[in-house]
Amino acid sequence: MLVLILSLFVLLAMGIPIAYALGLSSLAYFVVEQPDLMQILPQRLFSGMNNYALISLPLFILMGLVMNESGITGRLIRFSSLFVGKLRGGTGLVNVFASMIFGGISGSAASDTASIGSVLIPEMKSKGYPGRFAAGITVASSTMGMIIPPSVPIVLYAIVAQESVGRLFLGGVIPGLLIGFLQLFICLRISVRNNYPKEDIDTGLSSVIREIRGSILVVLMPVLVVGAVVFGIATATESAGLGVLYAVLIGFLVIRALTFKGLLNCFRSAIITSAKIMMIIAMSTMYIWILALERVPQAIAAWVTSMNLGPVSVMLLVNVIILAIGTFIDVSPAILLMTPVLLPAAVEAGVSPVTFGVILISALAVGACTPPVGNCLNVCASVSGLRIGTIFRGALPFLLANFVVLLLITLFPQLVLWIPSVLMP
Amino acid sequence: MADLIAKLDRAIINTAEVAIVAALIVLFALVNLLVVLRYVFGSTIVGGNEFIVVLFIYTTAIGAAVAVSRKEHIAINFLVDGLPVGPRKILEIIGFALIALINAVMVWYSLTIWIPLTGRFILPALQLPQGYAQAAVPIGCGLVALSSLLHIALLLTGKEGAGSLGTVEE
Repeated sequence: MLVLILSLFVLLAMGIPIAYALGLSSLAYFVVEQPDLMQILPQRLFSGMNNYALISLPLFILMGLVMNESGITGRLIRFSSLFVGKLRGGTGLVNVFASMIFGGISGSAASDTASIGSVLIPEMKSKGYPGRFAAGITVASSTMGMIIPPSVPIVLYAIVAQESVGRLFLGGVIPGLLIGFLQLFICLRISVRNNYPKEDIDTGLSSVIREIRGSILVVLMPVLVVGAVVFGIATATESAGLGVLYAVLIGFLVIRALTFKGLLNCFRSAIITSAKIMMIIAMSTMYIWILALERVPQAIAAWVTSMNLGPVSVMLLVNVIILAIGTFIDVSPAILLMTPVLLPAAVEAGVSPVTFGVILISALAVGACTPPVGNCLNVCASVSGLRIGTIFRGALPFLLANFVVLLLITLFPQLVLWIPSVLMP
Repeated sequence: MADLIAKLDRAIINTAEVAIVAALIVLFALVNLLVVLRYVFGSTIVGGNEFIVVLFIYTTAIGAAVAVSRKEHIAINFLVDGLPVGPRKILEIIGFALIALINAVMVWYSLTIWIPLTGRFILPALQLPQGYAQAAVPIGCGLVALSSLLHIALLLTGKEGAGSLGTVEE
């Protein structure tokens, strides 16, 4: 057992890709502890990939990429300006508001950072906002992309935990929106204190109608995709497929900015991104199989039960573990490794798998904004030209919103469970 | 010689990439077609979903090889990135060797035990031997092992500079 855990740490520290580090440490375990079982390696790898539900993964990734390639960012920014642009610090507020919508469409925090950041960070700087503030708000607000549905990490968790994608999508709605509104409030406070500029927006009826008409089909997309799953019209895979079709049609016929070359690039990026995550899933199937063989999840569950902690105390403990691990490991591998190990203990303590999933992803979203392994920070550094430490310091006030919401959903799980209980009883 | 190795790796990986992009296009079209057939025509394609899964397994197995060659797999690099060029290059060669090893083990057990034992079972809807789907594992892992060995050769000949085996998640 020791060889399984130690070898994984050494291999990860050596910079071996996570998927192969998992496979190699499983191999090391079999060589040392169970040489007779080595022959099951390819069978476990295959079973990790042989799952219809997993097909939603490349399709959800593709949907976000196609929407991004279609040039929706400008439309979403103009749409967001209608609501918050005229307030003090308008461009900062637009950054958060657009992320709330964009997060739902792209399902990815990193693409949110890249798309919105590349437009708004230079614009905010040119209007006199400090670069640190502009980059920080971009990174922190992009975390909503993982929580507001549809979200790729939520799909991944649903597959690993064998939970309903629809219930998890709905579970992310209130926490995601709460983060957004709290970040808007924090941005407004900072802007008033520093006298940041207001936007000069034309809010005449005709221009409002023009902007809404130009954006409504884009804004409606997450509602349609999530609605198809929630109301049983389509499976998660089918709704992702329909979402891609919708995005392609919007890109070609409505926005008219999508090209065949761009679309092919989206297919290319989607399948490589999916293969990278899928290989971690497939290799972690072996690793987790060994953990189950060694009864590790049961041991952790028994240990937690022996402490006689209530669900809130267990989840506070789990939050600390996730936040610590999320600082060093990317979101997808963290979901794949922590869910099978921690979920049984949480369920044993009376926590719903839906609540656990939303808490897990909300905590990991913070990890995406913290050094040394924060993918959103890396993306923002390349978009803004600022140092990672500077961006992180700029993001800290806004990440306070994430921490507050994390605490709230831990203390009051109904914030997660209420919408699923109403729409998917 | 190094140029030839680099060309060979590029040719293999570019071909693999075209194949998996084409597979994803087919997969996307089939998923939508099955929904349209179900809702509009009350019909389906027998074995359609099973074919989609098989296609997906191939795209994953072969896509992993493309990601290895392009060094795009998700990895934790911050410790390695702090090292000087020499040790980093040694770690990269060891890393590629280990990746080749685990994939070679997969190919070996697939071809000698797993597929010969279970490959003749029939896929329920497609009515084809399961071995056709299982073959994705030795094909994909074989490509990963081959590409890793080619990269070791490129690193040893100095054609390729020291870098990282992977990157952070996008």
